[in-house]
Amino acid sequence: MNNQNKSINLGQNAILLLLVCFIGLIANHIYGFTGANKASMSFLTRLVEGPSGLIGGMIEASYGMAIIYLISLGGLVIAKYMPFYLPSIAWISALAILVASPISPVADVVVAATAKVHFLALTTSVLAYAGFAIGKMEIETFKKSGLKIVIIGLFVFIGTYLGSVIIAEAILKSTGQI
Amino acid sequence: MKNLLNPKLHILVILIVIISDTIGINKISLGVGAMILLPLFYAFIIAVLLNPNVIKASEKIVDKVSLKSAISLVTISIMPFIAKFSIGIGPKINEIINAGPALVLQEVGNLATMLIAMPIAIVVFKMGRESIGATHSIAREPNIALISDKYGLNSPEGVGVMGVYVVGTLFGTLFFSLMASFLASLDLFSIKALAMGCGVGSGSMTAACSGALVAMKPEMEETITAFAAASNVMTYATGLYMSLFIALPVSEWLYKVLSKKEKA
Repeated sequence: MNNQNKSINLGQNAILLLLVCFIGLIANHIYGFTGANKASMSFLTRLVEGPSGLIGGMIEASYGMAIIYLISLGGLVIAKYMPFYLPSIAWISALAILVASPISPVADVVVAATAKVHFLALTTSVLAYAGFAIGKMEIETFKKSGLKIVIIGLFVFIGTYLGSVIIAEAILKSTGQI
Repeated sequence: MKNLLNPKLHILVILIVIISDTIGINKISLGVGAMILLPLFYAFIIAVLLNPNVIKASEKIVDKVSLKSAISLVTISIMPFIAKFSIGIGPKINEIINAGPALVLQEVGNLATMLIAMPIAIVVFKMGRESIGATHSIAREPNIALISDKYGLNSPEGVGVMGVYVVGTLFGTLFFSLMASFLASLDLFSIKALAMGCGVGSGSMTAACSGALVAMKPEMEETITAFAAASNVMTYATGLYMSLFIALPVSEWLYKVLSKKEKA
């Protein structure tokens, strides 16, 4: 099979990754004041404490973000030069697991530094770009199929999720892991 | 490159990120359970409303040309998330290997899409072969490629898969976070099983699903992300083959059975 990742432009991706990691640092700092443990914090406190002190908070997480940046770029390099094709996110994932697993000499450093970066903070920008990426095609398809396809789609998601959860629960129980 | 670095798009995204993360995670209590709203969801809504392809008046704020690179930036911006998410697997690798059988077999659970959705598509909505494309999988990019290869995107199957793809793009993250947090609040399943279910092979849906679980049970964060990430990696690796060799043949068969009953 031809590796279609051969055409990846590493220089261009390196710059764009730098940009999205920077946006991630902003999100991560604010998330520190609005995250899972602090969902009860008042909106006013969030508004005052979140965006303030942005620079200091960004520096604290920047070592972890640098590691995340290098893993992402490393995964792209592997994806480009491998003789066979796998999606680049699969390579990034594999590389991340490897450097953070017990066999890696730098695992402790990687885990400790990246602990300052919250995964959800890295998704806010993804969905913002995704909202801007919606084009004519999506709107036309949606108009054509209408409410019917929305309902079917929701049942598709329910089926996928419940199916996996029920099987996982049954097997974890039968092997005595929960 | 110049187009990809168009400052208008990125500045808007930075502003949206600041607003969305400042609103933060919110929990809505319902009688029997609770649901979680995440910053990624507000970010999506704000961007959609500012998108002139959706709301014409937004053309005053940002032109369509500036948005051309948004799709490439989705692919790039998901990478740091995937890296961070997968780092969570490393320290928990032994626990995950112990849960190996559950992790492998729950992939089969992804086939349950059609068991629930196809009867509804055919019996309730009188849908034809569109139902095969619509319900054989959760219709992300690899599945579109598969259906396009096998039937063509202009075929009924192609129309079906594109329909659910668009529903996933528009409502997937919201729906997954609501569904996962609601199910978690009912205390019917263990958090490990709920986390494994999150790995559906779409980065943003997996993020929304596990983010909602973390918001419900912050003390379980490491376990939730490790198991969701492991399951998502499994789906990336096996999803396409599962669709090709199992899901599509089974849905063809199920379609025949159901549509015969419908005619009789």
